[in-house]
Amino acid sequence: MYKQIIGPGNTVVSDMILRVADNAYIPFDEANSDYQTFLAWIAEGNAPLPPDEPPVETP
Amino acid sequence: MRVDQRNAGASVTSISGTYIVDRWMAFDSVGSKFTAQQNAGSVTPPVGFTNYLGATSTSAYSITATDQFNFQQRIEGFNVSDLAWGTANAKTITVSFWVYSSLTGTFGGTILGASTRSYPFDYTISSSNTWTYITKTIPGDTSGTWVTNNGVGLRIYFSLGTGSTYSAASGSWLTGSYQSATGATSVVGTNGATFYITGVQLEVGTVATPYERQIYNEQLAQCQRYYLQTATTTNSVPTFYSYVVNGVTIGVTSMFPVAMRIAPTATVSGTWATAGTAATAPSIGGLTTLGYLAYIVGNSGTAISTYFQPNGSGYVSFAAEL
Repeated sequence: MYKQIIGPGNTVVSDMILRVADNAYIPFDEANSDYQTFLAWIAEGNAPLPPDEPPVETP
Repeated sequence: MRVDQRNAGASVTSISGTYIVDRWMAFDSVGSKFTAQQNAGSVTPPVGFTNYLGATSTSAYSITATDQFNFQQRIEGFNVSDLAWGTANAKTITVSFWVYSSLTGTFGGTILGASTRSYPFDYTISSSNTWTYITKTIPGDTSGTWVTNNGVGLRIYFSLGTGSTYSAASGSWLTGSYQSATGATSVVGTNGATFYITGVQLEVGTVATPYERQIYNEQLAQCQRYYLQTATTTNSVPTFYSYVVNGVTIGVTSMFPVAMRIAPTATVSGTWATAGTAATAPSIGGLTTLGYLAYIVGNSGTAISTYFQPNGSGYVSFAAEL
């Protein structure tokens, strides 16, 4: 299972995905075999989990 | 065989295509048939060596046609592009290594390319529990497509047991992903059998020269192009100290000691000590071949001193293996 990531600025990171099983951050690099595995997983009709709620900034 | 970032000399019982010492993967098509470890069995290495890679069979397993048990190394295309394989100018190579086994007989291995070109080879261990020096001269492959960039240039396998589907006659280039020579000894076929190897060297030409010694930091840096791991020591990198309030992100950019092969996969493991901020592992971003950004988010209502650091077991690993 994969999950989207919230980055600085509380926006969803567009160039990386989190592999939940081992807390691995996978960059969207075509040469990265973990990314290729993720793409294959998507091609099977799966979708990553939404990101965790971003922290709320309080004054 | 002396760099072992992942396991620090510990035995690996769950093989499943994992790396044992740096750059050397153990592969098993069926689990729990052998264990692998740097300096397994604690025998005296060949003169001039301090480390070796070892496998110990854990059962008397009868291999099936499609079984694959081996040690293997994948070499980046940039580092073998000078071989000119796949052209009429393909260069001959010589592979040399030291092996030690509780078994005797003919053993097997292969040179394997990305485009299903393979050259199975065999070698003989005549005396059990004795280091034996082996050299194999292999003509360059004038066929096939060989990768010459940062992909897999070639792979070298040392079989610990290979089924008939992946075995072929030794001594010639073949089309197919053959991993060993037909009839080679199966290490996993004998309970308690051992197979140790060190001093593997692949060089251009027909002569095996003495193993090229490298100072340790050079060898470590070469390994870190494919994998590196931060220390678990308290206060070691990456440690974050800052003043931060609720919802505010602080980030730290770190550079890798060497350029990694590709943007690596980063895995946050172990336990981390925290104070004044989120009690979870840091997030990783901005992964490139040159470095990364690690950041944490404050959860205190007021600006307080906060830290986040390895706590004896916490570390981040970066993997860019082939």
